[in-house]
Amino acid sequence: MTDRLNSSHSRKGHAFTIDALLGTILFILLLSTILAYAGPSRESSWNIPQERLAQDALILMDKMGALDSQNTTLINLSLSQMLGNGTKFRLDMVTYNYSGAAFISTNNVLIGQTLPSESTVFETERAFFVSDNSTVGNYTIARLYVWK
Amino acid sequence: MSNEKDWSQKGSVSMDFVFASLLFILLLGFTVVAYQGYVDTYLKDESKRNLESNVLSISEILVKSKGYPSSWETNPAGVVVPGLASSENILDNDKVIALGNLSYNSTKQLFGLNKELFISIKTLDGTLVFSKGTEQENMSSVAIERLVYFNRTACRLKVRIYD
Repeated sequence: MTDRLNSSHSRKGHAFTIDALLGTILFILLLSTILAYAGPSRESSWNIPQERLAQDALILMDKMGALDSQNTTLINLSLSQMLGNGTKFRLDMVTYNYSGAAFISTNNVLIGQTLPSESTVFETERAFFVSDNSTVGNYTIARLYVWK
Repeated sequence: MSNEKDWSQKGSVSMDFVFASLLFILLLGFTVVAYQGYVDTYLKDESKRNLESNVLSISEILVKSKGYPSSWETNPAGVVVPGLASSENILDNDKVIALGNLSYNSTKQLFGLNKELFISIKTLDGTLVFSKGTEQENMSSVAIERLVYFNRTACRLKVRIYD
């Protein structure tokens, strides 16, 4: 009888241990998953330098009068020098003229390369206008896209 | 006789207890190691993000702000914020000279830094026209480069903070 009791006790011990083992494995898997997704992002988030560089380039070209000139060769050269060899760009300038009733798009200048489909692209824009006798004659919106 | 058998069983440790104990120790060890790794990574990332934030703030002050007082270059001893701009991204020559005349430690204090700092202005072809501080080798750092108009030419202003 004692032998029968011993063997039933030993079977109960094994079932408990398997439960504990399965529970441990599940816990480790759960903890690993949480740490993998809840931790700090491994991807670099330091994209601000690229954004600021693009904004600064547009501001400088506006202040130096390069955008006003709408000279594509001058603008292309200026942007290449300012942004450096490693940075690709595209500049879209749309000019709107006041017709008397509304502003109508009259000119569209595209400079640079085609936008990529797979790189991260940063966009910035700047508006500037041409006035004549304190009246706004036309205004232009320049949008600069940069990527590596 | 049956009492002798009972005594011998009570003295022993069952195998499932040993196994469960080992599992618990393994689990505890894994949790401690995983948590420590997570905390280390988080602290390193936080330190880097602080540097990035500082370097951006300093570059914004230099490039966008006239400083405080706005004509601080006439009395550099009274400067509170050493901005260099006469207008957005256009640097004032007198302000740049005044920043050059401030001591390195005063400059760091004005920016609220206790780390090493290096500021430089170079023309687009790489000619150095201004610098503050010393470039450190073999030290990790975070830098930002801005475009400015200085001395009638487009230049790159770089701010670097060392960790």
